[in-house]
Amino acid sequence: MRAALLFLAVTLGACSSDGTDAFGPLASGLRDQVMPQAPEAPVVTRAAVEASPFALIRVRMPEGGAAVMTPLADRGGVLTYMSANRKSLAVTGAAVTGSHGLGGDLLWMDLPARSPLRHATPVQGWAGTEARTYAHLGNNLAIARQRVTCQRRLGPAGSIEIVGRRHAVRRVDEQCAGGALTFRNRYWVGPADGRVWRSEQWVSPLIGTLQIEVLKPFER
Amino acid sequence: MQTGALCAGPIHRTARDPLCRVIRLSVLLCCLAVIAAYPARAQKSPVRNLYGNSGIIDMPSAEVQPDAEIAVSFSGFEGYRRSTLSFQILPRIEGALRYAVLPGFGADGSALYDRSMDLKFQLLREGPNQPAVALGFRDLLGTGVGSGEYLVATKHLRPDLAVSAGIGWGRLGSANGFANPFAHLSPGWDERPAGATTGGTFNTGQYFKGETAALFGGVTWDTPVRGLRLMAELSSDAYAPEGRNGGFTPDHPVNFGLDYQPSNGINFGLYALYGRAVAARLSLSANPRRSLSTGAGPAPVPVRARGDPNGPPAAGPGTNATALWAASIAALSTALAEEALELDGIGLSGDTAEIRVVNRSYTLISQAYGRALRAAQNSLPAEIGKIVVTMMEGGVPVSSLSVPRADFERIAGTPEAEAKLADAVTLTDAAPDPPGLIQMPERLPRFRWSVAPVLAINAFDPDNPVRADLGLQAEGQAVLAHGFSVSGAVTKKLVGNLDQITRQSDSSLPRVRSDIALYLREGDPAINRLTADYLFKPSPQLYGRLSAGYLERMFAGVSAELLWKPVNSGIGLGLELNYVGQRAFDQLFGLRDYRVATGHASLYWDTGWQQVEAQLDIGRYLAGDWGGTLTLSRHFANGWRVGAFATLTDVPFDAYGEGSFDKGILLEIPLSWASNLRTRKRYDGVIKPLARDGGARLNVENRLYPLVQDAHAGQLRANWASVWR
Repeated sequence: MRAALLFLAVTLGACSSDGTDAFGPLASGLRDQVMPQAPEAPVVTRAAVEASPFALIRVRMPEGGAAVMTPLADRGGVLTYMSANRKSLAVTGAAVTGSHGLGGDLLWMDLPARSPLRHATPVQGWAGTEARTYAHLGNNLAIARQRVTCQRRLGPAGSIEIVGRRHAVRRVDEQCAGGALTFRNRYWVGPADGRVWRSEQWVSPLIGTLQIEVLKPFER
Repeated sequence: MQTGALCAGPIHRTARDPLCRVIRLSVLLCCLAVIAAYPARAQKSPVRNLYGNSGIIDMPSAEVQPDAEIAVSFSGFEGYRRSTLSFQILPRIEGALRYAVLPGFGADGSALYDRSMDLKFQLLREGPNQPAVALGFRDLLGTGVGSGEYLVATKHLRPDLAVSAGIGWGRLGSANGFANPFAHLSPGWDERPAGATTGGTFNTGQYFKGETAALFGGVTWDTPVRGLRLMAELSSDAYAPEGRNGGFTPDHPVNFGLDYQPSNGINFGLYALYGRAVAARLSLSANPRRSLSTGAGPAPVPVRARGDPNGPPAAGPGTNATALWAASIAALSTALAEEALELDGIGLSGDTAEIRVVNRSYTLISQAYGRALRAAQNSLPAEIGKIVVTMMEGGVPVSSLSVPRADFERIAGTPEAEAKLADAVTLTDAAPDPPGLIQMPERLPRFRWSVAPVLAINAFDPDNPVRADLGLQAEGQAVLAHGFSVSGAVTKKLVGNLDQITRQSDSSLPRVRSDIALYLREGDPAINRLTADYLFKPSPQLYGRLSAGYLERMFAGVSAELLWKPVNSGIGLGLELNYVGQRAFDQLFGLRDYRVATGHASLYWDTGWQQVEAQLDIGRYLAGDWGGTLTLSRHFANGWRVGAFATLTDVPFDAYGEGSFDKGILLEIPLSWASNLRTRKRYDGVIKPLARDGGARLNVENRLYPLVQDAHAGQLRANWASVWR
């Protein structure tokens, strides 16, 4: 694989007037594929979080990288969070309902109108069942839709710490299945206000499960 | 010149290296190798045999590969070698092209270098109570050394155990045979005529004939060991042509083998053949429909609705309208640049804004449209109620997509957004010069250049199966006005042995292509191309091109083309007229004496069925011969194209020489298929077994149909979901 890409890099590793560096964008793109940069792991402090004028979330990728994202648009209750390196998530309430730029992205997910994920709901209201459809873009450029049924039940109460701040939470476990697909999501929910401080959410077959932590909540 | 030519190297979007009419096989191999890193498919593809076809060991089965699967297979035993390029042409039609080396084949002990082609038609799909049934033809063209036909059935007794049985004719009816059943039906069927001497034509007179037919069969077991399959078969091939002069002769007809898939796309085979030989096989496969890229890259900017404080600018009391617009256009230009697009112009009429966009980044035009729509939505003043995005190619508008802004705001990011947007947009022919169009101030003349290594490969020459040159190619373009440019390319060889080709042309036609060896030897450095080009659009459905200069490596002159192609139609009509002179072998500025008027009327048809496209060109070719070329290809949503073409002209088969008529296969592989790069670069290749003079067409750059096609309805529909990517 590396050898093949290196071959491509050599074949394409040309100079051109379009290039922004000596090797051109093509070659540098290939270089990034051949020698991936260390996963972005920003050091986040509570002071930096408090200094930010914007809401912030931290997203951890399954393979270990992490990115801090900030909301760039608020449209019809859907926030679009984006990182400095232009990866983005559409977040409806507490649920990831879309992704961009990660590869194998979630085009959309139809979250039911009454889902507790959509609106801050005290944790007693979380248990139950809901149906959703996940639509992602396959490597054949066709949309793969998968209808799943998700069952939520309340887990243990406790507390979690996110960048120097401790939150009392109750864990909610969600088991989803449909077709050949099964996955588990987890949410750490403020018991009274229903605010989700941390979650692990499956996004698409290629992306897998992301961990999302709210460093600074968005206030409308 | 009895040899084919292969070339490899990076080239621009529609370019075809004129000299070699070309394969870029190395790229294909490279792409296939990349697959090694990707996770295995859940469903296993059928085993390939020593011929690279779906089969058992040396025998075929009735199975076929997944639609569009493409593979190269290399196999060998006791000095016999077969290299096969196979392709699942349609879900039920499998095809293969092969180059085989048979040592000691001739009476004088000389080796035979044999090209052959196979086709297999799956007549029945396997069902719970029925086997798959296929009718196949091996080596159905050409000299027919390996020719054989078969009817075979395959059934899975268990999910991991497939059994095949069939009857073969010709080569496949030569071992332990019985009287050919067809001979009872019709006299003369017991005699199999010899294949054509010049090759390249269908040997229909041979099919299913011969004294004997024979039965073959085998089993394939998918073992519990991951990736390992075991096979055993009874062969019906006596290897009579090989044995005639003391070559390979089977001891018995039973073969055993294993197929191991260490990772998806790579298969090894190891076999005990006919009781006396050990054979090995390597197959590399990929599926053009399934991209290796994940689509990762910079995310699009989020859509902001009007009314959002950070959203589109709105006029308030006392706003200076001119200043608002100036700021808005500047913001639009920046927003497009962030999406790797370029603002070419903007037109206003009523509450509609049309933005004209140059796309140098996205292979999928629907993705370019999506990104441009977002930029326009977020930047244009709130009073604009309808957005039109027009894609530009070569300075010419090729299609316009319009959407009411309220719909775009409502739909973005919602479930079924792609379907809802498809209903909300209108795709129209782009107006050449809409009223109120403001052209962005261009820095003219504008220069673009690149220098890149190129690899030219020549294969299949009996004197030396592979020769290659590594060189550097410099390209430059100066855009002098909208649609008008001067461009050129120069190649300098660094190292290689293409100049050692000694075969002389024996052509009785004007030597328009067969002097390739002389061009290869003397063109160092060579001016590949140096032309002035003008692209224009006389009416919304009509496109035009004028080119003059050194059009390609063998010809210089003038070229004019008109294309009629409505944006929502699958049909296009083209007319191209050229007057050219043959260039000197050194490929600098000189010309030889040969002059010819050449040109074609073309019909383009996107059938809308299985992504099949057809092109028919009728006219006069470079050697002055009259005729037509039919090209059939599959053009996948991601930009891949695999096709085949054949040209018949008034040149008789024996005057044409080996191969009888011009034919070949073509490949276009977008780099964005294999990587997450934002680039429209792609590899274009033509694999032709022979470079001869009949049916040769001029290779001019910037032909119009490829320029407009990707922005038209057929291809946009195919990859529409990428509009939100």
